Amino acid sequence: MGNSIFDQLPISQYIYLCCVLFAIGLFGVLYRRNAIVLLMCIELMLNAVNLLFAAFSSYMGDSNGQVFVFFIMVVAAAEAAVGLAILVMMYRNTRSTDVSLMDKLKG
Amino acid sequence: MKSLLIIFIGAIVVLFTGIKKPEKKSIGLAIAFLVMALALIPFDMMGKLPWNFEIKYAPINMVAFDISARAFSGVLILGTIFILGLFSGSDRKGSDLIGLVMFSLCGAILMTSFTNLIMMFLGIEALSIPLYVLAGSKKSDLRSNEAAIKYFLMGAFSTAIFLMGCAFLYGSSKGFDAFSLHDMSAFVGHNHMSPPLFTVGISLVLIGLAFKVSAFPFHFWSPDVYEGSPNRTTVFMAVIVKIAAIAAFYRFFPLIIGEAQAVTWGTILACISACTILVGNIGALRQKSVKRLLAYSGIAQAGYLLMGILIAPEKGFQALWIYSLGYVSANVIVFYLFNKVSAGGDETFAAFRGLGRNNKGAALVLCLSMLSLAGIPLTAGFAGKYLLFSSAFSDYIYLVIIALIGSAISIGYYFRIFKEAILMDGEARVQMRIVDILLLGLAVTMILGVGILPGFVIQILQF
Amino acid sequence: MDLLAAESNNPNHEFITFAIGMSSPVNYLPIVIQSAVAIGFVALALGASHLLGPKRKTAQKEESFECGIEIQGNARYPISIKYFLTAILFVLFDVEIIFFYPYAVNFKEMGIEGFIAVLAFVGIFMAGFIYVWKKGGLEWEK
Repeated sequence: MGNSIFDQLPISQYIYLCCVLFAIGLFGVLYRRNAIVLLMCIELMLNAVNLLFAAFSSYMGDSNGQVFVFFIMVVAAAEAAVGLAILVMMYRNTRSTDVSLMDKLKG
Repeated sequence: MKSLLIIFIGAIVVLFTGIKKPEKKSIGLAIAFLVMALALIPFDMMGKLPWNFEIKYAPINMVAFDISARAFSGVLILGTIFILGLFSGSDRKGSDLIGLVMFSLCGAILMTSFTNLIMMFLGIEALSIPLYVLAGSKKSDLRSNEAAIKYFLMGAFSTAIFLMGCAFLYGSSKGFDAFSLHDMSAFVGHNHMSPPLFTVGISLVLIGLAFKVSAFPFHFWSPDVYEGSPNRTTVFMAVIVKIAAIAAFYRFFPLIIGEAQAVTWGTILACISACTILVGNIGALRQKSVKRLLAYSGIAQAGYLLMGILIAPEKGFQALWIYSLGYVSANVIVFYLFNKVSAGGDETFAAFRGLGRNNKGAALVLCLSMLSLAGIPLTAGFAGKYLLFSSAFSDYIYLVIIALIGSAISIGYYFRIFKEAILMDGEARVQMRIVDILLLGLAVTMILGVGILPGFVIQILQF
Repeated sequence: MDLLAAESNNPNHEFITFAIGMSSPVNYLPIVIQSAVAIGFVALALGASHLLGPKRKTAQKEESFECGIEIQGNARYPISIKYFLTAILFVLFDVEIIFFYPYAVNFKEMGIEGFIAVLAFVGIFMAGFIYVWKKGGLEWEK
């Protein structure tokens, strides 16, 4: 039997928590206009996924899920680095990080 | 595996040649590495695996170079050779950009050969992250900036959705390798259940992949991104990313969809495919910019390619392979000629005016590739479409009818380019180097060869 | 508690206590107490300093007095792009270290094969580092 209360939380609680976190990130991406906030929302989505992987992994006693978390973290860092570099490039040219200013490409 | 390693080492070598020296030689070096990798494909590990990754033969490795993986990675490497060779003059020549193209190709090859969701994820990311940089490689051009930021946001967003799907699949099937996923789908199908975690996981992963192939509800980003990116990156996205994503789809779909559920998911995929064909073809009709037109035509082609996933694995694989050979060569030719004639900055149809009078050979090649894209007989496009439609006909007759309507619409907009190039008078002119002529000749040979002798080309796969 | 006493002869006793314990709010009590103490302490300290401390503000008092230099401009001034590059490189190299943790834990079990794999990883890692170095990504003054 678990010693701390965290061992006794059923897995469904973790699933709900991660879905809520993921949804916050998802709606943030859809409704915000500042590119940096968008980047943060995407990171939030990825971290919700990480948490879910870790929860499943410890619930099932299978360490593979945590390996996946390592890969997600590393790839997310690389992605954030490239994304921030693109943002800096955009800021240099437009002096703004508002994505709604990006309307040069229309059909 | 050997060819993947060669490409990876080649990418690092190409990166390092560009530190101090001028950048002229790195394209030749890169192509040499790619040709070596292409030659190594038949010797890649594992002799004959069954067509579609039969589970009992699946190795415990995280990648397996079975026959479909080798065939698709051959197409991808060939496409990259075309792109690097033909577009050497278009963008900044920097060897860092060429290195990024090769890293991206490594990701594409992983996407054709994974047996584990980790490898699929790494493949998608290794493919996408260099492309975010390449899309924005014209640093002072606002359109390139916009393409980069849109592509980045859409790519990262779709990756997050894909990963959420992976997490759900992991939670429901207690693993994310081919064995556990296959066991789970067989179990689910056997007991006629639909466990919510598993079902939601499948749909999220499919949404993530649909973003990458730019299938119907998630296609909106592709015209903008294609238009803004530099030409070489656009053709890389149009050709390599699409084929790699379809190959990943082809590998993933039968694995995760048990036989009992094939009807439900097959119907959903058929609807997506039909909508993608219609949206792509109708959208292409009202475009003025050639790059946007090719983006919409690429969306439509993604719809046709999705049909190949619906049909039985072996036939579907042959059809997809033939189709992708034709798709790669025709697209590369059209983009190459467009790149040459639009050097003055005009990116509308008018850029092609006068090509027929000034460069008869180029105009002929352009027409041939247009015919192949539209699916006229004796070209590779026709052979691919014929294989797809005839094998889908028994199960998905409405889909085939919609696809035929779509093909008929597509002749309309391909004809517009044709009309501008042949009938109108203008200044379009193409200066070709000897390398260009050789590569174009190879592409034309592929279109005609696959179109006239598709049975013989399928025999190549037996190696 | 009556329920537990009645069921103590049951062979499933342990499971039942676990099941009851899961839904019982009693087990959350330590956390509630701890958070109450933590929040209470912070609130008390902040409130006390707010109430007890003298409040006389003038423009002169806000300036730095005999320490540092005069404040000029806004603190949110766009900083040089060199900081950005260094920070990003730091983050990338820092995060890659994550792969050494599983290796360090399973160092003995993985044997020579694992060692070769890690050597290959470090080799690619170093190639990236040398590329950054030779490209001038680490130079401050340029």
